[in-house]
Amino acid sequence: MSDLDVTGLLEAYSTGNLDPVEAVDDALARLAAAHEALNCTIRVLDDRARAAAEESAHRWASGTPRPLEGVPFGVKDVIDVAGVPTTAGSWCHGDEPATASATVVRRLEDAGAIAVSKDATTEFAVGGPHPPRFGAVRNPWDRERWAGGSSTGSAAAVAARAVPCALGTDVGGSVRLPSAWCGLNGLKPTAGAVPRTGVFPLSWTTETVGPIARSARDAERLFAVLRGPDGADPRSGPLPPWDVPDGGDLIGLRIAVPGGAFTELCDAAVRAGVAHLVDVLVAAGAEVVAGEVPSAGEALPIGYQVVFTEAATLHRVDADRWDRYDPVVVRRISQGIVTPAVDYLRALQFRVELQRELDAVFADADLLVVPTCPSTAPRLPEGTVLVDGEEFPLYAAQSRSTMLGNLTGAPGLAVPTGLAPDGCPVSAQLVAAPHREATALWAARVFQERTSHHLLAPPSVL
Amino acid sequence: MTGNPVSVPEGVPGTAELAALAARLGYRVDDEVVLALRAAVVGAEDAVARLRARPLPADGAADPAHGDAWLRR
Repeated sequence: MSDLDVTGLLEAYSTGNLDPVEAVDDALARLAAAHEALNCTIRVLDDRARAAAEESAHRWASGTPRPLEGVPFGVKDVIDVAGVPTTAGSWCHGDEPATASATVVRRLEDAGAIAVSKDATTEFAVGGPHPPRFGAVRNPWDRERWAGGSSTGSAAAVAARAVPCALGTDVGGSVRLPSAWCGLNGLKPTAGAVPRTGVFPLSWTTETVGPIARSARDAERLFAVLRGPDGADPRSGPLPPWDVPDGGDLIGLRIAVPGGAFTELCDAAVRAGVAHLVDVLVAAGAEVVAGEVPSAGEALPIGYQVVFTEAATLHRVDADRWDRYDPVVVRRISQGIVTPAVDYLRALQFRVELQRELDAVFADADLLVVPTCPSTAPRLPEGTVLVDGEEFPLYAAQSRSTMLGNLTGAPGLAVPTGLAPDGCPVSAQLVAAPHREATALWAARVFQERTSHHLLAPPSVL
Repeated sequence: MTGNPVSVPEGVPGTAELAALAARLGYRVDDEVVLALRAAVVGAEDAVARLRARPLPADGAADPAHGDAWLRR
């Protein structure tokens, strides 16, 4: 059953070929094996999950299944699950169990899904590949590489076929980057589309919660449950109706394929993957139109300035415990202490300017197609990446194409586009206008109906 | 990590000044962190300076609230 995505699992339940008790037992066993190999899990929720599986089995037997009935999922350990500590990957947190589940967990559970694990995260979703408390998560495609971050354990567990899907958070690419490096589909929704209530905060301007899944059709199914205001997150408001085209072609879809900052530091294998995706979309009826984002190159440094200033503000309450933080966390967020207010506010003004540049593109295009990240997965222990044979530090490379979505709030979907010559996955990103996730998910689903890259499994875990 | 005097953009505060500012704002950062902090400030300075020098478009972008409104339309 490990080869089943969410949709396949639900089909197997509906035909009686599988029941949730078997599936959850299998997921728990696979999680144990994956953790042994990859270090991807902080806590297994076995008793809680088995009880929920019994309930799901009854619902299927009685003909009253909910939309995600019996689907196991992982939860990045910055997201609360009631009764379970949230460590945020840190020595400084997780002493007490969460009193309530995060909105996103509650929504998935109300739809019948079953939380089976708290997944490894870089510390506070901003630290380096080697969080002092739990250590690095290895990539199932190559254990000498990092799974990516910050939703590191979530992506590794999904890629290892331990769970069909997981919840991550994304502040500079933290859903999309590990998805890209693990051969998965990762959706960073429009800012505010998914409530963050019950999520350990890092940056209110840029942070979103999003699903990591094996297929676009699964990401679509999960996002449909996750989206919408909860009355608690002040950035989460009413949304337009949810409507994903169900056709098998893309006639009428207009795509822009910008260059500039998106491709100037980008490995040939990644660029080939983007070109392949574009070719398939065009063969399905899409039209390529012109479209550039002139200031995209500034999105990364200015986005980091916003993130680190907000993170330093949030972490001032723990300022006497920074000596117990991952030194990478301290190095990264401490620069936010000294950001002048006028620079932070100028960065927020720049956010508006970038949004207007996107408006100009989206006047003629429905989607941007860009690399998700410049390379295949970083090498451990240093976390460096290779771009056309040249080595680059992790933070100089990884978020070059993803931070634009965090700074502006626009949604982005990482889609696997095949394997590089080194045997590791490459990925392209579909960027849409605000609250047009459906367009990106539609294009990705049609792409996956015509190709099989999303079905590739890492050789080391199966 | 401490920065080459030739390559440091003009006007970036020194470590003592940054350490004093951090302390005044309630953060206890040791010398090593201050050095890293300053290196990061230096590293970002070119991009930040470009942004400071960039004129605001004359179409009402000055209020950052537009950035949130863009997400609600």
